[in-house]
Amino acid sequence: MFSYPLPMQRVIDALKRLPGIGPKSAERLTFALLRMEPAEIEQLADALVHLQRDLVTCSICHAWSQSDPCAICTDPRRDPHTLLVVEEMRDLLALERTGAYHGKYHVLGGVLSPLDGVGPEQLEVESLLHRVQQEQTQEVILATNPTVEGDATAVYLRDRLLPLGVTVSRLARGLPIGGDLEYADEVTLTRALEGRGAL
Amino acid sequence: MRLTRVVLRDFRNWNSLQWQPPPGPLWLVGENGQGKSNLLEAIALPAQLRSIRGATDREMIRFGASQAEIFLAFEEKGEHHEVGLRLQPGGRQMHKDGRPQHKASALVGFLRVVPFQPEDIALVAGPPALRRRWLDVLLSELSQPYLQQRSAYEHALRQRNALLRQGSYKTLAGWDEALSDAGAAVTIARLSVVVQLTGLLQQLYQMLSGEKSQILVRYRSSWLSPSTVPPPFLEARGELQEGLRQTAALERQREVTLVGPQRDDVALLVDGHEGRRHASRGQQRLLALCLRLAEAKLLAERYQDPPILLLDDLYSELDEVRQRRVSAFIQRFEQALMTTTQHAVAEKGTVFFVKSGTLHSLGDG
Ligand SMILES: Nc1ncnc2c1ncn2[C@@H]1O[C@H](COP(=O)(O)OP(=O)(O)O)[C@@H](O)[C@H]1O
Ligand SMILES: [Mg+2]
Ligand SMILES: [Zn+2]
Repeated sequence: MFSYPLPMQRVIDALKRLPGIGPKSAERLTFALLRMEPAEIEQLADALVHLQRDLVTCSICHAWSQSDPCAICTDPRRDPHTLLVVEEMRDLLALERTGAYHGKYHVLGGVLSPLDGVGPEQLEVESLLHRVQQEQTQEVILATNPTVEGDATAVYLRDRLLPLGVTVSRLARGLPIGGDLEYADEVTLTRALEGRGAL
Repeated sequence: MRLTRVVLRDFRNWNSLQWQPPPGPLWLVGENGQGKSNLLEAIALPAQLRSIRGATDREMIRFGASQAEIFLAFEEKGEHHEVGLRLQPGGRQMHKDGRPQHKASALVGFLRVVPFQPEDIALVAGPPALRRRWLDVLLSELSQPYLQQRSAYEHALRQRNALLRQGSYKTLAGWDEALSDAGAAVTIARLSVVVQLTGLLQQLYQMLSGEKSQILVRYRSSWLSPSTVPPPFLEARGELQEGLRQTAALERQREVTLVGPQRDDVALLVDGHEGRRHASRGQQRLLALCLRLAEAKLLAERYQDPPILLLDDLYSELDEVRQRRVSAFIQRFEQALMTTTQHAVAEKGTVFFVKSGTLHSLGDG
């Protein structure tokens, strides 16, 4: 039976391990890589090597950074009294792009998911509780995604944080644009009411 | 709404069909095994996205062919629409008004049909799980938010059950809240439909049977206090949370969630007696038809437009009086496709003959 030459098979096997990439896409990508200019390939390989070599996770907020602690954690203009909790670093970046938040962050590194074997121990929960006790935190804003897992994680964190004497809030989830208010929409409506803000 | 064009390729025993069905009642007449039910199955597929006979895609592709195609054009309130579905080994391809669709949910509620098959007697005579599933499918067609809440609920339930199996309860409160939010929403939606159904069924059954029987649809839940009107959301959520508290010890032992809409039942009562056990076969069959016609009325109200009826072998067990009443009722729909083996019952409507996967009108000779 014909099989790929070893150098190709190695790349295919490596790519297959990436999320969202199946055997078919891995093969397609490998052929695309073969067609690239040698200089381009070297750049890509170099970028990949430096991706991990030059990055560390910030030991305070657990975001990827080139320095430890990261630029946000060391920025004196950031409000030290509010802490915003996100699932992943890309949520942090999305919030930073709005320019509307001036406090600090904490990256959980995922959400609770018993089906995937993810409990509080697999997330940055203890370090969050520790920070809240050590720093001058007054308010913790939970910004996990509005999914079943995100909701469950937020409730769990709320129950752990409230005894520490801080204010806990959840990022308000409004009504979806164009969503109709009928039948099963009570959940959305109730939450929209609970999370309403002053105008 | 009504179908204006039906194109099939390699669907079951339909090699190739190009048909422009007229409005009104349509009769598909033919002997057994000619393809009448197959045709109704094909028309229902782009609407409900699963076979009304519970078949796999592989089973619906014509023997020896590698893929099957269904294309339907229809008119709704004067507007023209199209839906296409291709069944192939790699999965399905869907088109809606010429544009490819990747999510099945994009087609929910687009083309609306109400099927009736002889097997539907199980909706009355069968176990409660069948009625619950029927209600779920109907609600998904009536309301997009329901579809979302139900899948959120099922998701939360799977996560919570995984936690119970793992025997770690630290984060249980988080899942309780996610579960009771979606669970309360799902239940309230079901209750509001059950209330509407009760009235409709009573009316339909009395009209078609000529009997003065009392028909009652009752939603049975172990955790919700019985009531004839759906409770407010916060109340239902509170009761579900209370139900979870009360079963906490037992569910840890059994390692599975013991309360919630996944365990609720829908009962049909005829004069106060469980229709499943006490109604006669004829009553059960008529009641099953009434469930489908009630479904059609709810869809017609929700979309301000009647769905297409697909009635398979409807008259085989009805006596003549009831046949006539049913047929008078069906006249109110813009289009109804009905199958029969007896040409004689095919009155009031256009007749087509089905013979081994081909269709002929009267004029064809
Ligand atoms: N995948 C398939 N390919 C070809 N023929 C099929 C397929 N599935 C079922 N059939 C044929 O369809 C016929 C049954 O058609 P059906 O619509 O149930 O008949 P009826 O007219 O009695 O409703 C049978 O002859 C059966 O062999
Ligand atoms: Mg048949
Ligand atoms: Zn940091």
